[in-house]
Amino acid sequence: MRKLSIVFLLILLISPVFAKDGYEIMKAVRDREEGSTSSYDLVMILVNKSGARRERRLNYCHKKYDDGDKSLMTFLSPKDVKGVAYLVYSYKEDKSDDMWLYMPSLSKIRRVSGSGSAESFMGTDFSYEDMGSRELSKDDFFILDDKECFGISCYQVEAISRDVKDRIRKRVIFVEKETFLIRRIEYYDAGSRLVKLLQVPDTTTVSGVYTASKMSMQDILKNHTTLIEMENITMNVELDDRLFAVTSLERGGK
Amino acid sequence: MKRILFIFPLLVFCSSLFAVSSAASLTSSVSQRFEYKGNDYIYPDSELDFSFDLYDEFELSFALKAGFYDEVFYFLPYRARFNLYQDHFLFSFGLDSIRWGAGDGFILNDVLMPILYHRGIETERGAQPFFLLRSDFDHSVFELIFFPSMLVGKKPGRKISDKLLSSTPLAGFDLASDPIFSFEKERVGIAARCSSYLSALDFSLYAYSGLDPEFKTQISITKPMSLDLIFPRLNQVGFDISIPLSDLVIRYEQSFAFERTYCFSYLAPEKSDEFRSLLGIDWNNSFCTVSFQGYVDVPLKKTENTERAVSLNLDKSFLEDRLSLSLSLVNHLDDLDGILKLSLAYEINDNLKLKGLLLSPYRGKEGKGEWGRLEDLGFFSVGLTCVL
Repeated sequence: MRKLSIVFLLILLISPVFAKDGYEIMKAVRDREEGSTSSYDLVMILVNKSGARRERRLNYCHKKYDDGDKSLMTFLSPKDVKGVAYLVYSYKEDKSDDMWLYMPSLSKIRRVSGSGSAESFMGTDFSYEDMGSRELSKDDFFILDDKECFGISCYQVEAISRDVKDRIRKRVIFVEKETFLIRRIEYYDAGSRLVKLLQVPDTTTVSGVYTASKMSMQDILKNHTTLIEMENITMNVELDDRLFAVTSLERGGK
Repeated sequence: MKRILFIFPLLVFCSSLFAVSSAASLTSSVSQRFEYKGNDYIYPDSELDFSFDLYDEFELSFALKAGFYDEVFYFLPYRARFNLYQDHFLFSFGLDSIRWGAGDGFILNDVLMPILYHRGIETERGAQPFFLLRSDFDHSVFELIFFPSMLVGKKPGRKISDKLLSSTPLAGFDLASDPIFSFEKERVGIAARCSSYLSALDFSLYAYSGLDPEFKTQISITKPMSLDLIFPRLNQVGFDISIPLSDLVIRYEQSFAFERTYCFSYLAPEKSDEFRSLLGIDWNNSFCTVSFQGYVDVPLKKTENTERAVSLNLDKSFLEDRLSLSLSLVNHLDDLDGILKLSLAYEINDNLKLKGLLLSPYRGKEGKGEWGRLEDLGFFSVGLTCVL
C-alpha cells in the first residue's frame, strides 16, 4: 500500500512535465525567444476570388521593452502609398495600443485610435491582433489531440474567447512541439463556422531565432487570401531607440 | 516655353541616373483633368508632379508641379529641402509647407481655419522658404523655425484663371510681382513649438509671428494695395491636444491672436484680439475614417462678428481599397453658407487612377456668406493620373 502511494505521488509530480495544459502551451508560445529586436521587409500579396493579385511592400522594425513592444511599419510600394508609416506602442498591461500615422501627402503626423485590434491590418486579411499577440487572459484554453502540420508534430490547442461579443469565438491553434512556433490557426465564429485560416508553411532560423518566413491568411467567407513573405530578416541587432520616436515616422524608419 | 518643358524630362532622366547609383528614390506622376465650372467652357488641366529624394547621411528632397491650366502654364516647386540629422537634432532648410496642429489640412500660418480642411491635399500651396532647428528627447520635441521671406498672394502656379480672378471678389488679390526671395522685413516670420507625445495624449504649445494669409476682408480689392495692408502681421500663441479614447481620437486646438487686422465693413481695417478654438472628433478603422469638427472664431472687440462653423469629413474605401470615396462638408452656422467637396477615385492598377471631383461652394440664407461668394470657383472634374 505504501509502495502504491509513492508511485501515485510520483505520477502526480512527474505528469506536468509530460502533459502540458492548453494555457501552459500558449504561455510557452508567448514567452518563446523571438529576439529582442527584429527587422525585415514584408511582401504582402493580396489575392481576390478571381485570382487577381496586388502586391504591397513594407518595412517592419520591432523592439521589445520592459513595458511592451514598439514597432514601426513603413510602406515601400506601390508608389502612391510610399512613405506612409505607422508607429505602434503595445503594452503588456491591459491597455490600448498607442498608434501614430504619417501621411506624406499631408506632411503630418497624427494620432489614430489604437483600440480596433480586430480591424483589418492595412486592407489585408490579417487583423492588427493577428499581427501582434493576443492577451492570454482573453481566452480559455483546452488541449486537444496532437496532430501533424506540414509534417511536423504539433500540439493542438482550442482557445475559446471569454468575450461572447467577439466575432471570432473559437480558434484552434497548432503549435510546434519542439519550438512552440504557431504553424496553423483555424478561426471559427459563434456558429462554429470556419471563417479564416492562417498557415505558416515556411520557417527560417536567423541569429539563433527560429521564426516564420512565409505565411498565408485565407478569409474563407470572402474567398480572399493574403500571402506574406519576409525578406532581409535580421534579429537581435541593435536598433536605436530613436527609430521608434514619433518624429522618426516622417523619415520612414531611416 | 519649349525650353521650360524640356527641363522636365531632363530632370527625370538625370535623377533616374542618380537614383540607381545611390540611396535615392524618384516618384513622378502625370495627370490629365478636365474641369467644368457650369459655363460652356471646359478647362483642361495637364500636370506633372515630380519628386526626388536622396537618403544618405543627409537628406535631399525636391518636388515640383508643372502644367497647363486653361492655357496658362504654371510651374510650382513645392519642396526643395535639405535635412541633416545629428543625434537628437535636425537642421533643415529650403522650401516646404510646415504643418502643425492636430487636424488635417492646417498649415502653420493659417492654423485653425476649418475651410483648409478642404485644401488639405494641396500642401504645396503653403510652401514657404524656411530654416528649421529641431531637437527631440524622449517623448518631447522642440522646433524653432525662421521664415526669411514669406510667400503670399499670387504664388507661382496659382490655379485660378485670369477670367475668374477678375470676377471673384475673394480671389481678387493680385500680387503678380510677388518675388520668391526678397528680404523685406515685413515678410520675415518666426515660429516655435514644443510638443509631447505621451501614452494618454499628444500635446503642443506654439507661438507664431508672420504674415497673415487669411486677412479677414469682406471687401473686393480691385486696385493694387500695399503688401502690409493686404497681408498684415499675425502674432498668435496657441496649443493643440489629441486624446485617444477607445475607438475615437478627440482633438482640441486653441489660439489667441494679438491685434489681428480685420475688415468688418467697407471702411478702413480695424484691429482686434482674436480667440479661436476647434474641437475635432475622429473615428477610424481600416476602410473608413470619419471626422467631425466644430470651430469658433471670436474677434473680442466685435463679438457680433463671431464666426461659427462645423465640418464633416468622410473617407471610405470599397472593393479592397480600389474605390475610394471622400466627402467633405464645411458649413457656417450663422449664414448657412458652405463648401461641399466630393471625390471618387478608382484605382485601375497600382499606377493608374481615375478620379472624379466635385467642389461646390454654396450660398447661405438670403444669399449671404463669405464662402458662398466663392460660388464661381466651384467645378466638376474628371481626370486620369499615372504614377511612374
